[in-house]
Amino acid sequence: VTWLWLALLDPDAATTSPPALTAEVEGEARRRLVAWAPGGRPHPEAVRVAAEVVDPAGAAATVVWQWFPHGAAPLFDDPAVQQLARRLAGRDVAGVQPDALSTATRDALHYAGGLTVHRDGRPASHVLRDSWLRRVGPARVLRVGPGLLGATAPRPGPGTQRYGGQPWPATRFPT
Amino acid sequence: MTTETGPEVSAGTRDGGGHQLRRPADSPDPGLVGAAFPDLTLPDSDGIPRTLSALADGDPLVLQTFRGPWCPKEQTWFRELLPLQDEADVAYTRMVSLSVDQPEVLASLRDGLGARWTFLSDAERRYVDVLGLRETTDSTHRPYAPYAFVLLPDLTVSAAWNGYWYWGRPTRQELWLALREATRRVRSDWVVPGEAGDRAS
Repeated sequence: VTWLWLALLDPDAATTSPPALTAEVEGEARRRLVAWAPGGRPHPEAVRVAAEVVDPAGAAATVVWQWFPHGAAPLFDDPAVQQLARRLAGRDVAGVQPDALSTATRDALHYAGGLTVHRDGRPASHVLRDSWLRRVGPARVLRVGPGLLGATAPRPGPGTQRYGGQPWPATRFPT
Repeated sequence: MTTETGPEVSAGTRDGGGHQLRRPADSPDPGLVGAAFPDLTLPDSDGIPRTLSALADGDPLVLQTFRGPWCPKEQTWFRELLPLQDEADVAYTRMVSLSVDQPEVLASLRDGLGARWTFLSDAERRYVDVLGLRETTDSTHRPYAPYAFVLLPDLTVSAAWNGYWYWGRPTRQELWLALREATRRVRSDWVVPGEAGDRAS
């Protein structure tokens, strides 16, 4: 499995399949961040993310979350998105390496957003301020509970291309 | 996550009857094509253990050994390699540089160059002699000698160069041609799907 579904949902949101993992989002009126295994889209707002970002043993984290609705998402091959991928492979604006990261896709063409996972102790407002994601569009910062988002080794460069339309940095072409 | 304890390395053997890995003797050295490069595990410039096969992760890999940041030849060749990373960015190709320098030294070099590829540290010299790639004329630093390899994802050597003398190093054009050949071998759809049938008909 190289990618999973992920969505930020209201507590009463109806989904077409039960989630694999869920984490509460602090201060968001019981909203939750939800992950599903690959398959049919479980919710209209669900996007594909690299599987490596999800870990049931993951600790609570500060998360920069970016999500573009249909019609507002730039092309993944837009130069701004390509430069974002180069930047996300390294440290953020403050020189801090995220614990994990992924871009998000809704289809084979568009950049639907992304997320970076942080556990470095900075105030959430600073994490958001220093995020490269903000360079391509609006982003928000979430405090996500444990049991959903992991920590991975930084993605070794070079390489900004998606493998068969999967969310970057998921590697290997689908078989 | 890999561990820093790498596998036992035997640089002189290969399953399947390929050539033995040895020090590249010529540029290019066609006698090394088919040799198996050992799957090293070493810390990168952030101190994170990395395994060569995981860095390749299904893609062709350019592996460069170098003396150290202090060597003017290496400084010049790094400037030659930098444009390659922009092409590797979009060409499903990985790059790795390997030396005996400490991770923090490599981090400084990587940042200073603006390099985005991986630098591996063999500061404990776990592999340099096993691989037979040591700079034998420098008994002070005991560094790697400058060699370059293009490896297939399974770490089979696809091309190798001896850069002891600067002009032995591959040009970017030679690397391009070697990566073309490696990609041709790795990608089953090198011929655009449907095209082969069209040609046959």
